[in-house]
Amino acid sequence: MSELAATSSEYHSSRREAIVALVVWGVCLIWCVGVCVTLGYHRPAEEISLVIGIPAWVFWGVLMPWIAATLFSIGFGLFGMCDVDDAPEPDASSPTDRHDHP
Amino acid sequence: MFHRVLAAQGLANGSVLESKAALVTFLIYSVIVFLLAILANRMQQSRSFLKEYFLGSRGLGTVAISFSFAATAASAGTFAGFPALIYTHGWILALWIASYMAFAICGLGLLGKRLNAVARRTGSITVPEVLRERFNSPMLAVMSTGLMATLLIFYMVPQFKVSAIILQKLIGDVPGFRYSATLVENLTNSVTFLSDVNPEYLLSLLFFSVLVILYTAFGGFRAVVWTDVLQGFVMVGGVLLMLGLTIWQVGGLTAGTTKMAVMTPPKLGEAVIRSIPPAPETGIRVPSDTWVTLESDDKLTRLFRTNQLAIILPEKETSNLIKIVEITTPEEIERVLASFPETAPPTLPVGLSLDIDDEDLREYRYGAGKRGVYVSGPGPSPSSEEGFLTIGLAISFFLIWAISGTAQPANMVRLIAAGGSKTIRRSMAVVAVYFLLIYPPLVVIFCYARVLVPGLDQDPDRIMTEMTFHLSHAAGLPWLAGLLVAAPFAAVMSSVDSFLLMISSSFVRDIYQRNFDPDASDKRVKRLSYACTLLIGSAVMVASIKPPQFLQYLIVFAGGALGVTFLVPMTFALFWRRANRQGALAAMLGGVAVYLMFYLVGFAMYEQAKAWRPGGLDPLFWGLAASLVFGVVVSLLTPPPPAELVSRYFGDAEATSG
Repeated sequence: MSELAATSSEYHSSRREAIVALVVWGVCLIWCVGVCVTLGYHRPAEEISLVIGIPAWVFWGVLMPWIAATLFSIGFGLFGMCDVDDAPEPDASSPTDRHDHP
Repeated sequence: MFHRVLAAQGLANGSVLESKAALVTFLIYSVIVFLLAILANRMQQSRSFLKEYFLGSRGLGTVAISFSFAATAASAGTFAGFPALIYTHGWILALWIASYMAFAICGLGLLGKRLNAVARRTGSITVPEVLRERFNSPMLAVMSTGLMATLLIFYMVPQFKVSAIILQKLIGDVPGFRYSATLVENLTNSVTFLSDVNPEYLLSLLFFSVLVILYTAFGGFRAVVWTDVLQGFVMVGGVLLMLGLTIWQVGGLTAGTTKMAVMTPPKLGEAVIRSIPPAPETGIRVPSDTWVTLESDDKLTRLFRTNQLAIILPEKETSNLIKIVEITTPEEIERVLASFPETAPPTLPVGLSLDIDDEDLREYRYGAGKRGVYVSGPGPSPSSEEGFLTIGLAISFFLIWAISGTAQPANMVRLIAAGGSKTIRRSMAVVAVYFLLIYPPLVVIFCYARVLVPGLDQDPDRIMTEMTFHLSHAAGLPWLAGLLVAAPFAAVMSSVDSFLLMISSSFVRDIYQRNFDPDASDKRVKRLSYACTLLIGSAVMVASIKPPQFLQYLIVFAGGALGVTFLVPMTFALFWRRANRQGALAAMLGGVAVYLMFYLVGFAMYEQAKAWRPGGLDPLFWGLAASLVFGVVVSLLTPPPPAELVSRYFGDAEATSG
């Protein structure tokens, strides 16, 4: 693969993975804020039920999505993202060694 | 109406035994940190200085990158500000911090792989250098270096302050430390600038500064990352240990939450301690955290806790005005009173009384008298009638932590330094687990701190240290306090060392070498880097002796401003081929200007340190939106970047398309 083709491939795979990350963030936002506001906002003490000893809205609205997001991050990091070839690096000690762009 | 004291007692915090144990822990910890720095310094000898000193030769593995990434994200805020917020507002902080669930996938997945590859391909060492190369704009590098250095210095001053306070609390009771503090007091008495500074604080600040500046300057990035790994383990170990002890102390999760559910917010106010007859020649000191009971007009017991040291000067009758908290939940009052042994009821020394004017006691503006506010949203608030976390703010914080956090320079430097794409994707898994083990447990611990250590509502920043001493005391393990308090100390160190190095790397690389002396010898660059780190660290230490007002306000402002400065320009640099230097500059400056404007308007509107939040959304949201709009519009209105440049960054396939 030529250097330009490798660059293009790395750009496209990075873009795809960035979109997945943004979608995960959006799902987490909707899940957390939606559940917490629905189950946990402006409720008197007697209406707050507990799950494993913590408020139910925290359990379903924060703890569960947190565990889900963690599992997804593990799976995505280990199996969903692809590796790219590490490009050769120019000499960093002298910046003038590099070609400045036009 | 004035009341007279019926009973009171000061609760001692942290025995000499606990302080000695803490000192030993701190000394062991410091020795390990220095050994790591020496080891890292030896590795510099055989490698290119610049790349090794500022990036660890771009070869750091999964454990180093993930722990360093996570430990740097956890700062003084995680172990001082965040616990204080949980203590004050209750379970709603679970939602406030919830976007950390996506921090790993966003922080490493949004920019990580691409930034690492681009920096490697161009030989870039710093964040400003990546922007300079991609947009071929020295102006952009200078601008981002200036903004980054200024904002990071704002960030570091409170970190130094918090560390000095923690250290002071840790070893304040050790005789050797007290003796040294007396010597410092004698030395500084004649110096006008230092004469009114607490000598114990000054000594603690000096210890911390010397430790962190020396190991950072000497060991460089590799030492910083290695100590981050050590600090990361200390933090997660400390938090999990605290979680177990807290749940045990409170009687289980259900018992703790049930106790919180009946709580109503306290009343906050000021009072004086009165002495009749006047104080003797030695004066009188009533320690902070003293419990005081009063009898109300309807014969009920009212319970107060002082949150400040009261001093009655010789021959005087009244103390300085001190902050006090009135507990308002009957069940809580009963529980606190029951914790005193019957044979030793709480009493103030004879002749002392507490003068309180009921009109000076302030109720919470949201939640006063309401049961359940600590276990529901939006959470009680002493200052806002809408409660602590409105829905708009909840959405804003999702943006602030996960998305804006992605573009924090300290995180981006680690992405640049990673050993390759494999390291980044594996680190994502480790960081995700790490945050799951840190943040939800912290919410549980400090929610129950309300039950275990009540009445600190006017000084909640101390809750972390008070809680550690409480837990270790209750467990009968004094050495545990040293171990537990090492966690916040580690968090501060792991942030400060990174910031110091980032500023010096930007000055040496992006300002000096790129503009004035491109052919500078390795020896000269090395000397300059050491000097820069020492100089900046010393300057921050001096600024921390008398920190400016509105410190917390400045921290929040600086953190958001860093996100606004870098997020859109860096995203454009990596993912939008049509973006050009004009667009990147407009995104950076336009976003920061709008962000700053919202703070200034808020300051003018409310006449206090409070940002303007139209639509209930944080200025960060508006700053990022403005940055995006400015960047897109200006890029499209100006000529596209040269095809050769686009091709170099995006490959050949669509190099000329928009």
